[in-house]
Amino acid sequence: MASSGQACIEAKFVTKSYGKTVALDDVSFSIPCGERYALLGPNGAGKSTTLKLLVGLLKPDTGTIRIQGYEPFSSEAKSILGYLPEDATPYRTLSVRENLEYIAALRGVKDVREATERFLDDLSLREYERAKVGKLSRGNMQKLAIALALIHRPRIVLLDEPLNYLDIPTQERVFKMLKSLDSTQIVSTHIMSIATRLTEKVIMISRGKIVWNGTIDMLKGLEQGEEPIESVVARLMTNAG
Amino acid sequence: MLAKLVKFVLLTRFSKPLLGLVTFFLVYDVVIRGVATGSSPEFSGGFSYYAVGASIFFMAVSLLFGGLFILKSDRDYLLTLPLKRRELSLSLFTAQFVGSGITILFLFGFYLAGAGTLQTTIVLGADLAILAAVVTALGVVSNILSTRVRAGVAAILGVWCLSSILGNPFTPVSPFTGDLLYGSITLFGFAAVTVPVALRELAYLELGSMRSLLRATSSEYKKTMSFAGKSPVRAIYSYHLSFLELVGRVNLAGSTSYRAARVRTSTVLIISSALAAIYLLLTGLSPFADLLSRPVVIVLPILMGIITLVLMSQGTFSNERGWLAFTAMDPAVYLRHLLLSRAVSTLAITGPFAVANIVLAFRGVPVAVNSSIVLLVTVSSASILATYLVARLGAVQQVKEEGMMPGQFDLKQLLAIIPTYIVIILIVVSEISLRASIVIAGVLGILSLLMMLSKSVWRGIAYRLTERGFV
Ligand SMILES: Nc1ncnc2c1ncn2[C@@H]1O[C@H](COP(=O)(O)OP(=O)(O)OP(=O)(O)O)[C@@H](O)[C@H]1O
Ligand SMILES: [Mg+2]
Repeated sequence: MASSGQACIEAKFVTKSYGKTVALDDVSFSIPCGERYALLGPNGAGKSTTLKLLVGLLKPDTGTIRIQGYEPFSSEAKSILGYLPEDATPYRTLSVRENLEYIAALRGVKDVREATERFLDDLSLREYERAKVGKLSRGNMQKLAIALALIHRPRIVLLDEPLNYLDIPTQERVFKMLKSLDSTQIVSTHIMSIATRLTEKVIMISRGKIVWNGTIDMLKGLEQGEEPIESVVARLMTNAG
Repeated sequence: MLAKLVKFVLLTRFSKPLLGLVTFFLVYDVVIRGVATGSSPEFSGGFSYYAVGASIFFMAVSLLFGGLFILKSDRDYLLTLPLKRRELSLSLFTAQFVGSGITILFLFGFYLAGAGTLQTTIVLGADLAILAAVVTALGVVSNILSTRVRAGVAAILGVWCLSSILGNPFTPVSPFTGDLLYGSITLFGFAAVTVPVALRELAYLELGSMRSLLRATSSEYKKTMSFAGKSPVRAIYSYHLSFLELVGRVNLAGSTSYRAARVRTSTVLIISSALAAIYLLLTGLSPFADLLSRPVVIVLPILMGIITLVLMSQGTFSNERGWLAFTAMDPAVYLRHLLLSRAVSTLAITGPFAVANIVLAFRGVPVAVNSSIVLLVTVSSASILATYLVARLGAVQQVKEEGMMPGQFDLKQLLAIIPTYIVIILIVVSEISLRASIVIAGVLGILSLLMMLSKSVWRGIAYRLTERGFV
């Protein structure tokens, strides 16, 4: 098991541009093993870019990233990382079950059948197991995407807007599922209740820079009077911007 | 109002530089070739076989697979506006016409060079435009026909057009075999029937085609695959050898459909074996064999080359999911096996024809030897190289929603045609000389193998796709 205290995710002086757009500008942070972080920030702040860099889908222009000491694109890192992008779509021409089995097989999961059955039940996808993914409702597609991100029991989980499109009962189920995982987590979200329920700590970025870093409790401590936590966050983001 | 609407519909589909380039090519083709009074018309042999074959191919694909040039935003906004029906349909038709036209222009444009006099050039140019209109119309009409009727009409159309090679002047493609007057009249007549039907159909889009586009076809698979107990690499092969995936825009075929579907490779193999048998009968045993064998044997690899190249270069990445595959294993290893398995599965299309050609070669059609080398080695290797090139140029789009264009057509995607161009030239050269066909097959084969062995090449592609917004 990952011992807490040691850094599971480490980013040092990371910069990333798309052409002329600077998406991340000299960002450094370190996430100890076993901790759960919310990644907050206004639209276009660089949250999704950060997650893509951590999971090795993008390469930083400068700076380094280490996942338990490994390069993000190394096979060691791949086997411990689980990633859900925003607006995730699985393979459209495969059925729900085929998607689960295919990805489990690609990841070298020991018991593909068992993993598949477990997620079909946990996310109530069984009635759609033969369904073409292209024909699924958006919410059911999101459930499948969550299952695909977690099928190999990753020790580090990176989720970009995981609860989008989900109905309320499913949201509750996913909450429970994520809470019960013994893993290091980063959840990017715009919804504060998701952050407060799922995570204990916060990294806030704006225009590609980290503008605030601390615990949810510290964030609550900044509330002025009856002010909701959203107002605190909005203030921090705009003041920094 | 009409002018505004046409402009809006065009600009939401094509980027300005692309429209500019097309205009340039149009003007260039007409002016330069009109001014340069050159050689006598090339109305027999290779060029005309190519033009006839490619026209049949365009019309058949358009008719069979159909397709509308509709954006997601059209469904949500444009179609809900209180617009005059006639203006709307005319605008949508124009946009689709430009789409088909671009392709035809690029593949046929040089044909005008052989037209000779200014007069024939103009007539042929007009014929190409009408052909684009017909292809467009067939793509629209396709939506209201059942699959069986489509196949039937496509077969009849194919035979009718093929008879131009035997000297029938009254076919839509006869202008290309030298029957400029009767051929043009027939083509025009054909357009006069199909275009109005298409326009009417487009006017009531949300009632007809749109509905069929969004209609739930079967939403479950009857035959499914299992990957349990398979190693990562075996899983890739078992997926892509069982099913041929048809994804993305059938762009080069002039029809513009966005679909993601899968067909069992065994089904493909059966159909293409049946077609190869017909091909063998026509070119080897029928009474017209002597007349038909040369042109058909020459044109076939070109068409097969286009089909395979489109399947591979457009289809491979548009249905790929980097967040799943590239995070599960080394993208270089994944893509290597993906490409190889897909290249092998396209042999289900070309293989039977290669076999038929070997039989033909034994029956004394020498060019069939070149054709089978092209089908077996050149086309597969070229399609791997083309897939790389198209991804490298950033000319692929990820298909996320069915039936819709993922976005604007732009200059970059037009570049996707360039590899096809090069390959067509290589195929033509291969058919002229046996020695050339062996050299070309060898070079392309070795190049594609070397390329697949390079890890950095494919890792680079994976990063590049993500940077271009692939998820
Ligand atoms: N594929 C891409 N090509 C070009 N620019 C991009 C690409 N992806 C992101 N960007 C740009 O990089 C910046 C950061 O984008 P990113 O998607 O990381 O933001 P985000 O914080 O996830 O925003 P949101 O809350 O809207 O999801 C933005 O300015 C965006 O326009
Ligand atoms: Mg984002």
